[in-house]
Amino acid sequence: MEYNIEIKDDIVTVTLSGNFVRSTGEDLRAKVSDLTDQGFRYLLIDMSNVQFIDSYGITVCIAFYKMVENRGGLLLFVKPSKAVEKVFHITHADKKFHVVHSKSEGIQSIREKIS
Amino acid sequence: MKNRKTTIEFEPTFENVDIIRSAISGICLQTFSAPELKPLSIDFTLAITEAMNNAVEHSGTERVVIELTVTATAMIFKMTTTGVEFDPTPPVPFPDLSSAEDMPEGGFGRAIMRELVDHATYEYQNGKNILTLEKTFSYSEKGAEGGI
Repeated sequence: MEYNIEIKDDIVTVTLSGNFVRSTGEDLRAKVSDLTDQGFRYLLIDMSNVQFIDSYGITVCIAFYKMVENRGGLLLFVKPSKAVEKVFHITHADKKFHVVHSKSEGIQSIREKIS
Repeated sequence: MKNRKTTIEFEPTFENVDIIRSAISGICLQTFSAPELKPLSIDFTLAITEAMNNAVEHSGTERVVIELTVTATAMIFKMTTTGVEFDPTPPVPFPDLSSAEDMPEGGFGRAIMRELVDHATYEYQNGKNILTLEKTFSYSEKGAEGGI
C-alpha cells in the first residue's frame, strides 16, 4: 500500500492506494497516531484507490475512528472503492463511519463542524 | 468440465500471504469472469486471505500448504498447517460497533471468513489442521472459458 499524508490548516488528509492489509497497515497506523497525539483531530481518508482491504485494514480504520472521536474530532472516508464498501458493509462499519463523495465535500463538512 | 487444481506451499509470513493472495485473486478473477460472478471473486479472495492471516498469526505452523480446486460449480480452498489445533469454522458474530468508546479493534477475521463462504469444514489429522472453504456458483458460458 502507498499513502500520502497532507496537512492543511487543521485537517489531515490521507490518500491511500493499493492493498490495505496486515503487512502494510501498521506504519500508517503509527503515523496517524502520532498526528492525533500532536492534537490533530480532523481526518480525511481517501479510499477511492484501495484495491483490497482485509480485517486488519478495518481494524486500523476503527482505531482511526476512535482516535479522533475521543478527541471530539471527525473522521471522514472519501469515496470508498467497491472492495472497501463491501467490507464496511459486512462488518457493519458502514453504520458507524461517515462517507463523503469527494475531498472537497469532506473539507466542507469538517469546516462546518469546526465553525 | 475438468477439475483444475493449484497447490502452493509457503513460509508463514504476512508478506507471503500478500503474494499468495495476488495469485489467488488472479485465479478467482478468471474463474468468476462472468459479470454476474465478479463479486464472488472479491468475496472468496477475502475469505481465503483471512484464513491464511489467521494461520500465520496463531497456528505456529512452519509451513502453509494451500490447494485451490476449481470445478464446474465450486471453488474449493484447502489449507493444511501444523501447530496448534484450532477449529476456525464455527460461526462467530461480528464485533459490536454500536458503542464508539468500546469499539473493538479486532475479531473480524473469522467472522468475515465464515460470512463469505458457502461451506467451511475443519479436521485435525495426524497433527495437521485441515481447513476447507468452498464457494459455489453457476457458470455462464463466458465464465466457463476461464482456466488455471
